[in-house]
Parts: sequence; structure tokens; C-alpha cells
Amino acid sequence: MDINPFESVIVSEPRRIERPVPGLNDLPLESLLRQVDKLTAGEFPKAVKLPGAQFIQSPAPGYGKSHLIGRLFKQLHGRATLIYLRPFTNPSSCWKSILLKMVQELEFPESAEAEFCGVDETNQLEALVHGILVNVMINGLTSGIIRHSHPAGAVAYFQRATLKRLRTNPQWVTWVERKKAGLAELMERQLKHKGILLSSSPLSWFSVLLSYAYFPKTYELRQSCLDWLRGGSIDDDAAGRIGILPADRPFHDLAIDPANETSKNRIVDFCSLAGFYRPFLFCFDQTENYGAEPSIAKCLGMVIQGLVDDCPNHMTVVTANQHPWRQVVQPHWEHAHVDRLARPVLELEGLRKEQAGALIAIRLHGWDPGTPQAKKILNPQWLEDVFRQSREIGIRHFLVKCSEQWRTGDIKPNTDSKPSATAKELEDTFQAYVNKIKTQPKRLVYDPDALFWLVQEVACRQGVAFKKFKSTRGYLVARWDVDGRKVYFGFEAGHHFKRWLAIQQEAGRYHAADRSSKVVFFRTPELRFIPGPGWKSAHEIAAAKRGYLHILVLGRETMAQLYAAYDLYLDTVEGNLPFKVDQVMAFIRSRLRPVWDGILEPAPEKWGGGPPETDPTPPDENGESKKTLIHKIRDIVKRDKFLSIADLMARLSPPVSEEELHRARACIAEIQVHTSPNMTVLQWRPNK
Amino acid sequence: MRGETVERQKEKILANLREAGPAGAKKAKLGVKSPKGSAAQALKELLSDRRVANLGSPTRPCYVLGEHFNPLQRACAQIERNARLQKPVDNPTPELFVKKELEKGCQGEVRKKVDEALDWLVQQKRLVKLRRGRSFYLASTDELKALLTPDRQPPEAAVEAQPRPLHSTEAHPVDRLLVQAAYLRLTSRLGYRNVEISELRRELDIHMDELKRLLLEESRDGHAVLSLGDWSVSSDETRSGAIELFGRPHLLVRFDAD
Repeated sequence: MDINPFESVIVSEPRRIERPVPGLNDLPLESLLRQVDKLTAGEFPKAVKLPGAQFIQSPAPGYGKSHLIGRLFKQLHGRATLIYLRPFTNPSSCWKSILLKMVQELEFPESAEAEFCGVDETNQLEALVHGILVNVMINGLTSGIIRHSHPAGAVAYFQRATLKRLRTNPQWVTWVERKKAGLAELMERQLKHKGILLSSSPLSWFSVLLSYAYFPKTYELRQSCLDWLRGGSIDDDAAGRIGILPADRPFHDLAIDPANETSKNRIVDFCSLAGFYRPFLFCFDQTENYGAEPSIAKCLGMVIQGLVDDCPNHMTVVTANQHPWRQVVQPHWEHAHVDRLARPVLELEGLRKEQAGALIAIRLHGWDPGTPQAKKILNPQWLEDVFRQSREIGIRHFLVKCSEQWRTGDIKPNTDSKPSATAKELEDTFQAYVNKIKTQPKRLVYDPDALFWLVQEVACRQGVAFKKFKSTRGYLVARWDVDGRKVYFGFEAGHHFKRWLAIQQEAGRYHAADRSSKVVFFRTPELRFIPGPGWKSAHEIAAAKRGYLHILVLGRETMAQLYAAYDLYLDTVEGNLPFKVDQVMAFIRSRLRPVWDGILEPAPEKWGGGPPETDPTPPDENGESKKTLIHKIRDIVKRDKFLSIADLMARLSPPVSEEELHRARACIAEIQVHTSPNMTVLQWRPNK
Repeated sequence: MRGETVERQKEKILANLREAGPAGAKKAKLGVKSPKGSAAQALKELLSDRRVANLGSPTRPCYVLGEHFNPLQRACAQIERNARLQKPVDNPTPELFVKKELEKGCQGEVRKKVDEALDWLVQQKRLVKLRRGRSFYLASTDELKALLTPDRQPPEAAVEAQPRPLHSTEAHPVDRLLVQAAYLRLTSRLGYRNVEISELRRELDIHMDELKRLLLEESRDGHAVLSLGDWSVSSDETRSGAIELFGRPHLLVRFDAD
């Protein structure tokens, strides 16, 4: 099987990094860990603020920014709640976007190694809830506010208790449910003692967190909890069942600014509550992309200032490539924003010769060192030649050299003066990105930033279609003017019937003013169908869908293409790929023509609009079959060492879809995925 | 409320210090009037976070932003001024100095670094240490060299007549030191270690080709590390500093402490 172990040169998911090279960029990592130590010292609840965001600067692309975040994630496993943030694209909904990603990341497994929770595995949000509840109890018992015949024994019990143990104890669950109000008050008192006030009432927070963590099988209610945590509005009925107080139920008709503010408050509250457990780590990566527009760059400065000033119990890490940061991002920041970056700047360094040798050994782990390709790489003279001109080389630059050496055996230092990339190379790279996205089930969810970018940056026609726009009520945030027709766009992940009724009414007003116009909203398969089955307004919304309201439910294949296009663009801007940004934009514009055609389609009968291709299923409903599938995949890949996805699928009985396979495979940390334009290969690497 | 006031005071202090630049400012200019007020608290917190530093003494403070806190460099610069090392050699008789004369003008934290600065300048061969009996004197290396070199020409004329070969074994060590000193000034100002080659040239005010030759040699010898930077977002001036390595233009350089 023709796999090049040096082919993979970009870290796209920091939870999946390879073993680090000893000594490489240890200093910045140690500095970051020292900052986290400051956050974890002291008694619960903590209320510690760091004086600034940690700023990691790389002299050029490919020095290991995302890899360093991956190492930080590994080091902080069990010590911090880890949040990886790709760039937001719409300044007016920046906090909303961050909160959405934050909640998505909170659903990542607690283990920080796999990308998907295995059956019965705790996710980060459940761990946070458990930590809060346990420490409120321990504080209450220690201070005597919660009376117990053997307080010391009870404290010891809670110190050892796991979430699974507590939530499967019916007596405990009943007791907590009954005492919810008292416990929330106790939590509020403990927070107040540290000078912290929550924006939403502690009882609402307590009720939501408890419902989420203790009743994982009540799927609808759990989804409503997630909606509320994302700052969205939820039905009064669901809110009442969860126990969210009326004052804490976001109004269904929130305009974009108050919705953004609500999201920020939710993030501040999350950080405040983190004082009962462990700090948050927010990592802003791929920051070159904030340089796309001055307003986005400035907005990032405002966000960093907001996090540093208002959020306790967290560390923000910002990574950047030196030139783009100094030329197109920081110049748009105010002094107050720059002051929020901690000094000294943490700078990344390249590989030295002995470290390069270690990197080769890591990449060749699991490969036969006796093959001709491996021998060429392991030839000490080759390494000597590579480092003849400089004692240090960027990591990606070195991997590219290794990859060339593996393929061709050309031992002369290559001049690297690449000819301009051909259309075929671009197509192949795009296809490899599509394959990679398909292997990351967590990415195949609603991502308003990627979708907004598509509408704004790569609109069907360059410079003509996209117009800045904001509707009266704020539901529609972009517009295309194409051939005299207007196509309006809105982005809504929620499922509140009143909000969707308001959206339909606003769409109707714009359509009435111009009968040739239409309104497009994107939905993704994991979101619930619009309109909901029991909605009173279902009839009106369905009628609008037959006229002017185009709710475009993206299939997984289309999502993979859209998000792959977004990743391809982000990596090009970051300087990770040998393509020009304009070239990539033109390619994407042409490659996504079927998507544009679908959006522009004027005839409602051709819009589709039936239920999504797969109904979202409760996560634990088919737990046993998933567990069995994980075992089967593990056994086969462990035995075969290398295996293509197609071969693996052929050997699984009963047959499973590629999506099911990846959901199960993502739970196995030892499997490394290699993607190429034509195939996806799995490799067993227990010690990677 | 109190916390907000302190935060606001921090903003003001930082703004004042930014305006003051490397020269720094005294308490009064920072708006710190009462030792118990919120401004004093803000200053205390900024000092504890190392965003602000005191270059002076506790009784005669001189506050600067963290990025301008470089007492050793300031001590070196003051000593060089006192010893007239930065002036052209135009006097045939070398002048001897005692430490007291050279440390004139150094105060607070800068004064504490005088001994280290003298050691550094001697180590870098900018000054020569001479002994008579129990007393030590210091003199400019250039002045002594000029005295001992036959057929000496005034240095500026020499430069005009024959450009110094930066890569030659004789001239190289001196120029390397100049480059390193300029590099240190730049990194101290910028707050990071990978500096643009074009910016280093501006700081040195020498011919770009000479600097490039030296940096390439330093890179091969393992004393300097060249990095690519980002060509696409760089100005023409930045690009003028590009050094070809592995066939690609490298725009940044870093020197590490040996």
C-alpha cells in the first residue's frame, strides 16, 4: 500500500497529534503550563483572572502552532476544559459563534485523545457538571450547611464518586432533584463569597446542567438544554420541564446584538462556574483569517479584551504567524486590545538536526525500516546535507523534504522553487480535504462561520453577488443580487417555533416587496426538522417553504465539500499550501457550482425540503451495536496494521455506512487516518 | 466598583507610559497622587504583572512599560557615551577612565547593572581593562588599536576608500558585534526575537548586501537562524531583506544567546 509517512504536514485536529519531538518548543509549552498552575491553585470556587491572553508567534507557517495546542491539550487532560476555536467570520455574531463552538467542543470526550465519545464515555460538559455539583456538595458538607451524620465520610464519598456512579444511583438523583433550589442557592452563596454573580439565575443554570448530565437518555430535553446553553430560545414547555426560570428564557425574537450579548454572558457564566471544577482553555488558531477584513480583525481584539477582562478561571491562547499578524491583524487593534496580550511573546522555533532525526523515528514508527524508502530517509548523510546550510529548519519544511526523499530519493537539497500549482493538484488537494472531513464526524455539524464565509467570500459570482445586508428584525444577514433577483440569507441553528414563525413572517415581507426574491436558510442533518411536528405554525411555515422560504438541508456529501472548501481556504490563507488565495477562490467557486445552482433555483418544487436524509438519533439509543462495532474495527485494524476504509467496510458484518464507521472509529485513539485524493487508509499506531 | 476603577486607572497608566516611551515617567505623570488610591493600586498590580517596571530606585522611581525595561542595555549605552566609544577616533592619545567616570548618569536599576555592563563591553572588546598597581583603568579598544596600527587613516575616510570586507576574518568579529548590538536593540523594542532583516539593516545603517553576506555566514556557522516569514503580506522594503536559502527567500533572522 503506497502511503508516505511524511505526507501529512498539517494538523487539522489538535486532539489527534503525533508524539512530540523531545525538546522542540518545550519552553513555550512550559510557560503556558505555568499560567494554568496559577488558575488551579486555591480552594473551590476559584475566581482567578490571568493578566493577559498568551500569545504564541511563529516566524512562518509550519512551525507547529496547532501541534503545540495539541500538546497543551494532552498535558492539560483532566486539568482544564479544552476549547479549540476556528476563526469566526461575522463580527456582529462573534460571541454567538464562539459559544456555539464552545458547546460543540464541550461535547468532545473527556479523554482528549479520541474525537468522539465511546459508549458510556463522559464528555467535557458532563465532567464539568459533575465537578460543579460535587464541589458544591463538598463545600456544603465541610461548612456544615448541608447536615450529615458522617460529614467526613460523605466528603470522601463525593471526592471519589464518578458521574456514572452518581447518576445511576436513583436515591441520589431523586435527592438532588428535590433539593435543587437549595443547592443552587448554596452555589450562589459560594460564588458571591468570591465576588462572582451569574448573569442567569443559579437555579436555571443548576437545572439545565443537571438535566443534561443526569438524564442523558431524554434526548429532546437534552437537546433543549444544549439550545439554552448555546444562548438560544427554547419552548416554554421544555423550559418549564427543565426548570429554567421565565426570566432566563431568551426571547425568541432576539435581534442580533442582544443575541450576541446573551452569548457573551453565557460564556462569562460558564467561566465563573468553572471555578468549582477546573479552568477553561480557549485556543484561537488560524488567526491570519481574521485579517480578511479590518472589522473582523478589530472584533478579534475586542473578543480577547472581553475574555481577559470579564472571564475568570480561563486561559486564552492566541497563535499567529508573525508577518500576517503584524501586517493585517494587529494594526486594526486598539492599544487596549494589544495590552491584553501577555508578554513576553512565546516564540516557536524550528527543528535542529538531532530533533529532525527524532521526528523521522516518530514518523517511521510502525513502518519497516528495511524498505528502500526508509533506508533513504535513515541515511545519516542525507540529514547532514539537509542541515548544511542552516542549523534549524521549519518543521513542515523538513517534513516536505522527507516526503520528497521518500518518493524520489533525491538526496540533493531541493531548491523548493515550486512551479505554480496546476488545476489537477488543486483538485487532488480538495478531494483529499473532502476525504479528511468525512473522517471527522464532529466536524460534520452546523457551522455558521463556514456557511457565512461561503455566502460572503465565495458567492456564486466574484464581486457581484454578495451585498452587505441586515433585515429589519435581523433574521436575514446577507444578500445576493444575481441577474436582477435578490436571494436573502439567514443562519439559525435553533428550533423554537416562535422564532421560526417570526423568520417566516420576515421572509414573507421581503418576498411580498419583490416577488422574484427568496430567502435561504441552511440546515444540517443533526439539527431538528423545520417545522417541528407539533408546531401550531407548521402549516404556515410549510406553505412559505412552498413559495419563498428555502430551507436548504445539506446532505453529508455536500457538507463535506463545503467544509473542505472552507478548510482549504483557511490553510491557503495561513500559508500552509502552495496555492494562491485567488486561485483557490476561483477553484472553489467553480467546484461548488451545483451548490450555487441549488441556492439560485427559483422553482420551489425543485428545492426538496423533505425531512433530512437521516433523523438525528439519541446518542445512547444504539449503544450496544456501537460498542460491538468499535470492538470489531479495533480488532481488524490492530491485526492488519494498514487497511483502506473500503476494505474495512467490506469486512464488517452486518454492513455499516461510512458515517457509522467513522463515528465508531473516532472513538479509537490508536488508529491514525491517512487521507489522499483517492482513498482513506487506517493505520494501527498504539504509541503514536 | 472598586475593581472597575482600578482597571480604568491601569488603562490610563499604560496610555501615559506608551506616550512616554523608553524615557519613562514619574509617579506624578502617571496620576498616582495618594499611596492608598486606586491609581496606586493599579500601578502596584501592573508592576506585579510585569507589564510595568521601575527603572529607577524606590525613592526616585522612573516607570516604563515592560518592553522598555532593559537596564543592562541602558548601562552599556551610558558607559559607551561616557567613554565616547560611539564617537569617531580622532584623538591619537587614548584616554583612560575609572569606573566612577564611566557610570556617571546611571541610576537605580541601571546603576545596578554597571559592573555587568563593563564586563560585557570588555568581553566584547569595546573596552580594554588596564592595571597599574591596585588600580584598574578602562580605555577604548578602538583608540588603542588606532594608536598601535601604523599608517592609520581616520576611520570614516578608510571606509570611503575601501569598504570593509564584512566576511573577512579580520573585520568580521567587530561587525558581528555591531550587528548583534543592533539586533538586541531591536528585539528589546519589538518584544520578539525573529526580526526583519530589512529592519536590522535600517537599525545598522549599512549596505544591505554586506549585511546579507554576514547573516548567511552566521547562519552557516550556526550563530543565526533565518526564517521565511510571509512574502505575500510583506512590503517591498521587507522583501528587500530577503536572503535565499534552500532556494526560498528568508525575511527574518534570529540570533540566540551563545
